[in-house]
Amino acid sequence: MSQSKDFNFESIQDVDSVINNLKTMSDGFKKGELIFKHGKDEIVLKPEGMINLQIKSKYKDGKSKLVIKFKWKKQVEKNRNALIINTCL
Amino acid sequence: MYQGLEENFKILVIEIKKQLIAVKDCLMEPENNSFSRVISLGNYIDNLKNIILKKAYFSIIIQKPEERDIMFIMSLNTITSNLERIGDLCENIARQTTYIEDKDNLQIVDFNKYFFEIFDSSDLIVKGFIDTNTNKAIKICRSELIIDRFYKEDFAILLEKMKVGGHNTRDFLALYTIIRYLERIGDALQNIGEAILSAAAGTRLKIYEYTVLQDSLNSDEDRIFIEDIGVETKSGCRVERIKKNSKVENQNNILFKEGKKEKLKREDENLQIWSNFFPELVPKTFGYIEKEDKASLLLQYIEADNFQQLSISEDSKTIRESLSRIIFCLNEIWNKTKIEKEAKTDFIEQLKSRIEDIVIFHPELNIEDNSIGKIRSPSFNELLEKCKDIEQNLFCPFSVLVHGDLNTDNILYDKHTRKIYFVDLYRSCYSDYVQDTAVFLVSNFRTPIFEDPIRSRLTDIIIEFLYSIKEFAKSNGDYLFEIRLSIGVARNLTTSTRFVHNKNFAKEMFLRSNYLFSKISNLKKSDFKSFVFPERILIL
Repeated sequence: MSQSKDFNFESIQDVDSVINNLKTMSDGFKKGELIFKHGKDEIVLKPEGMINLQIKSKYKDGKSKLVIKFKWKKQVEKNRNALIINTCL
Repeated sequence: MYQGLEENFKILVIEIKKQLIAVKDCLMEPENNSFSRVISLGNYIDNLKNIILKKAYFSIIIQKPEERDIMFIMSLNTITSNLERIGDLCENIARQTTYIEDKDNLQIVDFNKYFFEIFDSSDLIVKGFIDTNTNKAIKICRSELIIDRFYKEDFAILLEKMKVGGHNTRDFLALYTIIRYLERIGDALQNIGEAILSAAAGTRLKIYEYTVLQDSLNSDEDRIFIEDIGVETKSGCRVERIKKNSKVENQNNILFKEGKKEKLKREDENLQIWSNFFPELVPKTFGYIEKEDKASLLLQYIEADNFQQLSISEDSKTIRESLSRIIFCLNEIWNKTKIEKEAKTDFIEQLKSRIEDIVIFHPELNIEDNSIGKIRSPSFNELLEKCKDIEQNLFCPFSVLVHGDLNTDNILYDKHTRKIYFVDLYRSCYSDYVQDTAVFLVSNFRTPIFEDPIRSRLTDIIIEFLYSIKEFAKSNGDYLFEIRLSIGVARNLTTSTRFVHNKNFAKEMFLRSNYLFSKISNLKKSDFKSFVFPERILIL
């Protein structure tokens, strides 16, 4: 069964507050845990393994846009004995 | 009128009269057994009504009527339906007479007086409607008052007799029901009279509104013309323009406002106050009248554009001129009405009382608290509580007469005479001038045009206005102006989302308001005076 949790937060901030938010997220990556809360709902993300990082930026007619996107998959523990290949013919 | 419609209408009125005669017979001469006659007439009346309405709708489709003709047909519909209602009430009365065991009890009530009045009125219906004769219409309406009086008197008599006892209760209940039905016939007559007035005036009109107009305009003329000027008010008032003579343009043009008594009474009182100080700045009042919880106000009709229209359509020269006039007038008003009394605002309380409506209108707005790691953004309510405490410590060192709802559509500018007018003054009072400043600024900001050159023109208006008011604050020693303005702007940004249908723009306004509130909520008392209103919040 698929489990889906969303966190969607939009705000207007000045540069100092943006820096604080980025620092908090950077700390989360260091600790291996990013916690987001919205009202009573909580979502915890655990960055691990290979992370896809995508950065998009745009400037047009005085308007700027910067999108930073991280994507990763939960690492599945592999059992080395799970697959036995018999090489003896 | 459409093929034979007039004839059908006349026959309907005659049939109703026949039924009234039959029902009168049931009451006054019960031995004649007129009951079955009343019932059989009823069926014919129902058919006639359907024929009339069908023809009326056909005439709309076939004849491409003008607006006035449509009002005429709407009135015909109302009259016909109310005539049929009278017919139904006659049947009900006739039925009640069959329940009366002792027919002598019918003499307790003098039914003659009711029928005298009803016949008198119904004689006026055909002529009144076909000639749109308002005098006849008023007479029809007034019979409701007379019948109402009869009903009250007879009700008291019946009650008195029942208290004494010894009478047939069943008969008395039937008698009571009969006078109640007669009273309802009076109501139906009033509806008919009002429908004739509406046909004459070209708009939906109630009898008391019509008499207000006649009295206030001192009109001996038979007709008053009313024109729908397509004004939509946010306060739920109905606004129309009246011409005493439809053939002469711009003569005696008057604005007729109808709405809740509480609001219009306050507007009338405020207009008196304003006209004492600045007679040229507000419309003249010609009349005010109340009825129950409603009121009507007659005002001078000002032929001018509102500032909102100007700011998005006119050349920059006119905008500059009108904006200078607005700023000049506000300075003059505030200087002239200034009193040495501290003024406090209650922006946060006003906002809290509206927040439910806002969320209903824009459920997508995020008002809950949010956290990203250790950084927590409080919920909107938490922010408001914090800012409320701060607002309670703020004050303006003086009070001035404020407009109370200084939206750009409440300021009119006549570019020929270069005169400014303030309208919709029902919220006006002595208060903090920040109230008008914040409303005016947000009103420009929320204009839903995002492209240049109009958007940059709106920004210019905002900045020029803001700086001139800052100047006023400074020269009047108002050191807490900027923090109060911030709360006022934040409050108006959120409450205005109710008038913004563009979801993205509403969200943008809400986020900007949230930003301001979170800035203010973090302030210490020692920061209040040095706080600077972040003007970029009003620049898109």
